[in-house]
Amino acid sequence: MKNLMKINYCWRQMDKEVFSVEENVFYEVNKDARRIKLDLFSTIVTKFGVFFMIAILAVFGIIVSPKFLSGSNLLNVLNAVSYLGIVATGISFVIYSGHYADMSAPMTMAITGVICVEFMRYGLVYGMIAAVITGIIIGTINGFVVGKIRVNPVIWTMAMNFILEGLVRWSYHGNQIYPDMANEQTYKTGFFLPLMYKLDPNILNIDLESKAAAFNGLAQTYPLGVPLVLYIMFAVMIAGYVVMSKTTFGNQLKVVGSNYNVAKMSGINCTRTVMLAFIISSVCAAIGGIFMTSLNQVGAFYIGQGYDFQAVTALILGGMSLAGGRGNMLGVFGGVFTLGLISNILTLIGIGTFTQKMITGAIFILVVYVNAKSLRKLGRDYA
Amino acid sequence: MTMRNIIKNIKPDKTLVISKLNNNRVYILLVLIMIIMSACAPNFLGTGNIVPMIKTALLPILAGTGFTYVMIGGNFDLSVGAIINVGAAVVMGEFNRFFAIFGGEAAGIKAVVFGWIIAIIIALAAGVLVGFINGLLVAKGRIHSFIVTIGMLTALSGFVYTYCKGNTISADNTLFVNILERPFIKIPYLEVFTIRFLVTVLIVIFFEILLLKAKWGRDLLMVGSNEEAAWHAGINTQRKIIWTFIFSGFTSAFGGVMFAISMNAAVPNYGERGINPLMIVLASTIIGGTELTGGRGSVVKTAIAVLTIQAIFNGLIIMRMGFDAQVLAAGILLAIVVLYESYSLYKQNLKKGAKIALLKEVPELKARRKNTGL
Repeated sequence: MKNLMKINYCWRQMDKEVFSVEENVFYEVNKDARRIKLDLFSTIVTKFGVFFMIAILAVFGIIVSPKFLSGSNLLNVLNAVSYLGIVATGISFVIYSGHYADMSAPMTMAITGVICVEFMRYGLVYGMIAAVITGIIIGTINGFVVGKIRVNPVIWTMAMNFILEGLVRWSYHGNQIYPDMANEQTYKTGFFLPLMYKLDPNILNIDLESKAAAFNGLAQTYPLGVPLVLYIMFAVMIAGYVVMSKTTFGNQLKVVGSNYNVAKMSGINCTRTVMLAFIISSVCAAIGGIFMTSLNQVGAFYIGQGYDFQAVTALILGGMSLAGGRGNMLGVFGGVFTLGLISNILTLIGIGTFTQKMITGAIFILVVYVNAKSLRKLGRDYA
Repeated sequence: MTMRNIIKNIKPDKTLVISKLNNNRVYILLVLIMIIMSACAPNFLGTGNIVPMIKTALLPILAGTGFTYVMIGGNFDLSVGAIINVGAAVVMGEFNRFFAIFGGEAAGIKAVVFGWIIAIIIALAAGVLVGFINGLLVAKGRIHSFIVTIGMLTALSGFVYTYCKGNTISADNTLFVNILERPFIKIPYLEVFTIRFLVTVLIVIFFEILLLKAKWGRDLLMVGSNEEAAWHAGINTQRKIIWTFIFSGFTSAFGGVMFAISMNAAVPNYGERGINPLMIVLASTIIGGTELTGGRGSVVKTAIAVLTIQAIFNGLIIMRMGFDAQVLAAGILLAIVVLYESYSLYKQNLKKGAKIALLKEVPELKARRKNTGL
């Protein structure tokens, strides 16, 4: 006992000495970090918050309607949020890197859809490749501006969103583009349509009907009774999980998100990392845009409207922190699924779309508040 | 050599001149764009064009006043557009309700006046309440302002749609509807002097004086530039930030109220498809020299910047470029301004050396080594 007390005393003395010497050097050391008590409620909220929410929603749904637990209903929920899931997976990389959000996602979806419809007349694969390349270009611009010049990401991506909207509307004079409709008038507006017509006037005579049917059928394909989009969503999420947690790039992204200066001083190429995050976000938005356009069977500037906010809502619900460097792919899926469940239950009760919007906003603010508060209680987050 | 001679002999620094020009860039931009547009488009400077141009600028000017305050405090208020819609819808809906309560057409002018007064008070209170909730969540809840206001934006747009039931609301009585837009004098160019114009100018001037001349405003500038230092200096930083959001809610709602009354219509989706008021307000606040990180800014310069943007839009209309070109031009303008602002900051940081923490450490370590002999 005496020995123990002695050791304890020694430790205290050493502690004092260490701090008396190095206090001024390491002035940013948070001394209170060791004294924080682990609050059970806060720990649970930060780790498994979404899944508790899903459980509560499921119980609520069973009470509300017996149809809720049926397989077709759950499949419908998943199908409805699968587009959001694809986009949210991309944006999760941007949030993970501590850059708040990619607000250019809605117009990226619109513009890639339009370009896919344009290039679809050479074949569906060409359309998809062109769309993904457009996504890569947009992501590169965003990533360069944000990663190199350090522009405020929210404002920049918002400006990018406005520019893309202006581009789509201006080049189409505010019109829409239909996959199965093409006459001489159609080839006078658009990004590449006039060029295509100039290069090869025979393009008027190609068999557009079957190609349009193939394009429109993308969202209506049901391999094994499950929509194709759902497979794509899970594939994108699994790929996202591997990239985020199992690769060097993912680890570097985590460091960049946790502390930008530390990442820079430890030799990580921050510009490249941030750029890649934005490119992944835009490519995911492009994939979502192709399927969204195929679902609506029309390419227009309003495709994907509101997906930026919904994606951020899902990600925050899923435990991603806006400060960066926190969260995982399972949480992303949980957040997306929660949004789908909320919407589904509200529809089952019989609440209209507009009131649903209001309730979703209120729930969002509440969840963010609880999340931020519990993180602060654990001493993990100062954002 | 006396002090005065030394000061006289100092040559004006090149960077000083540039920074002074940069500080007053809104005025230069406005004049430049006026000259270009009047050269390109005939009748641009005519009274039939200038007066409506200023009238359309009144709404973003008013909303920009509060937005500038929020941005000086170091936050963003993305719910500006939604609050405008709330103010517009609530004032129309509540007027119709109270007009009916006070007796409708049978009660005469009394019902109209009291109806408008109560409706306006309720609409402004709604704006203030929304701003207060925003501020409370940002300052006390410590959530990022971007997230709070974007959540608020969704909730409010849902609220407006349910409140309007998806329709356009107009007032049942049109007696006072035009009073805000009625000019005092019918002389060319002086037709701008309407009640709406004067109220907007008064609010802008009030907030400018509050910001630059009053102690409250100077404290706010300090909070924006360094919150911790302001806190150590004894300023209640949280309360300051809540007030900025309240001002933003108030001015946006006021803008919406006056816009709805002068148009006699409130739509639930104003600015959702097309040019969002938020876009104009954001771009003009940044053009007006308000720093993205807070701590510097001016309300009057924001107002001038709104006029500049409206001049560009107006010129595009006269040149028959269409509405879609306006959207593109607004986006490009915002992007250029943001890029310029951030690029100058980037260059500054390059000069300074961004590793401030390291720079501080090195001399201390050296001094310690000298003292201890290690």
